[in-house]
Amino acid sequence: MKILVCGYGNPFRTDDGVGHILAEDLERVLGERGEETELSLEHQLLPELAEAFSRFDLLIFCDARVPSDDGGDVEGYRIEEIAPDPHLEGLNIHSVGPGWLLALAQSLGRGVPPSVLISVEGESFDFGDEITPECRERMERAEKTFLKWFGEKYPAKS
Amino acid sequence: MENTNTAVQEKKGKTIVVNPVTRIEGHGKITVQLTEDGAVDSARFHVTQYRGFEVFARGRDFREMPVITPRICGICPVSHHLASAKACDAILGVTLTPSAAKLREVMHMGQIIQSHALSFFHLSSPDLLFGFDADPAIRNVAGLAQDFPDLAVAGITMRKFGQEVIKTLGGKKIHPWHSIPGGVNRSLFPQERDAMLAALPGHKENLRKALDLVKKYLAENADLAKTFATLETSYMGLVKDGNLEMYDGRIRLRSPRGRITDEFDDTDYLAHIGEHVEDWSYLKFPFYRSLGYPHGSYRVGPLGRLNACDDISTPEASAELAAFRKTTADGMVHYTLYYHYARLIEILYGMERLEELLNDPDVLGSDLRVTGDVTNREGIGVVEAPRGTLIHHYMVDERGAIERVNLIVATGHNNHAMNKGVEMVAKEFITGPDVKEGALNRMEHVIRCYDPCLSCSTHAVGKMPLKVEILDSRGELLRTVTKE
Repeated sequence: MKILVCGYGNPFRTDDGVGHILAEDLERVLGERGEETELSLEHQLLPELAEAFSRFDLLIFCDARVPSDDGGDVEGYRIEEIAPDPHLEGLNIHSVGPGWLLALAQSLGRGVPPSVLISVEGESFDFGDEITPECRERMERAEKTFLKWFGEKYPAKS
Repeated sequence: MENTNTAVQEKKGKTIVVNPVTRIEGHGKITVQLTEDGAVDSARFHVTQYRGFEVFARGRDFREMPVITPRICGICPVSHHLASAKACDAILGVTLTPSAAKLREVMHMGQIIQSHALSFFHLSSPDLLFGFDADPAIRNVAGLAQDFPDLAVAGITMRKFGQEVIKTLGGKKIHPWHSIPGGVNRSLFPQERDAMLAALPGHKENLRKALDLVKKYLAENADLAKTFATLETSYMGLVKDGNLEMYDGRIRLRSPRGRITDEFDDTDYLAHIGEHVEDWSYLKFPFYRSLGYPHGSYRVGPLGRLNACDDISTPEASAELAAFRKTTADGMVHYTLYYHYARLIEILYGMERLEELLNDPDVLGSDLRVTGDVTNREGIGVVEAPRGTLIHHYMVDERGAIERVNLIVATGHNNHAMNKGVEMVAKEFITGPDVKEGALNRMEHVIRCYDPCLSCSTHAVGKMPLKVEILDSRGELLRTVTKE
């Protein structure tokens, strides 16, 4: 299957760069598994990305997240299947989420493939080009969980 | 009240502060000063961010500047990259090889296309198609995609094309690295050139449709289009043999009546352009020295360039320019809303010029760099950024360490005009503490016509961060309105 792996965030703000690292890892691992993968590393999600979504069978978005107290971050990461969501928080091009891009692709008459968002809780968003050990550990767990889910959902063709 | 997301805080006395937040990032603040009888006396558009590049670059090696200065902006980093590289060329005292000069221009055309496409399709066309007073939740590129999907696809793919041109040469869409002092670090592979050439006809066709749409809008809304924040000003832009020029030309000023006021080498800019400072804004007010401030204020960017030049060197854009000028009796177009029309003509020029460059074998060449050492202690680089004339001026010591930097960014040249445009809307829509329906959205669109870089030329969809204060005749705050 053809998969777009999109990591986004600012790699110069420590853990905000975790999306890039995770996306690069996933692109490699899924490629080794025989999937046809394409990697996209972005500072922010921008409308231009939506135009290409229909070329893929699966979209994987990788992002950092700030800690939340809504009980959903017990593992320090979240893996969510996402759907088009036209709600644009703050109407700001710099805070566009993947759901908004999916909605945009839908409005453009482009196909919207199944999509997954993996978000990893960051520890620090200070200046720096390396993620913290805590964030890396969460990322590795998130990756493991995702690959297990992926293997079950899309069994490798033998 | 402008919108449901507009908060108004009233205070005792006679002052209003309005903070609309729309489609330009970095907060701009507007202060409206009232007379004793409550009429608008003046309006000021403040830029309240301070960047400090001119200061913290001191001490750096000048060769680093083409990498440092693009960080000023996330939308037009290529313009800073090129102006900076040109200033560095001047310090080295070198002349670029034909391949290097043309490859820089290839990237520049990609920049013009992507930035103008962003401005028109993503940010401004929703105002025109849905109306200034439409819900901001719809008045953005997503709303455009729902109601005008063909136009939205055209805009999104056109911007993507421009970004890909930049990325091909510079490795990244934003903050690319391609130009180096004395040249560039790579040329094009034939397959890269062929891919760009193959994509151009489709984008040109889409651009023609957008031009038709704008011309139709301006014709059907002629009263609005010809009066909306319209100012009779001078205009400035680079020209080469009188033609529109984006990368390397002489600076020309043309008067409101169409006379060429002055034309001079870009290296002489300091003799002709001064910078007025107001204590209420970090953005300076450049002016033509011979006329002084504010009389010597002028406009730049698409409208400025099309008024300043005699013609455009590429055939289709030249024909469009002729049609553009026929919209007025004397060929001078002062209508602020026509910035959008001018912007589309410039995209057409960008595509035609890109095609010319790509068909030149030099862009595949390997003679890319001229080396040298510090030859001159001063270097000036000027290009036309999408928003107007961009000037980088460096002074270095004998080893090449930066001693002084002067940057005049495109948005600054339009500072006076933006203030005047906002004031015109304020006079029409504000009386005492009362703000008529539509005032904030129109102020927002005045500013958007100029597509300014405020803090770093970043853009928001559907929002423009602004703060408008209305002060009574004693300078006391009457009212604060915030649009979040």
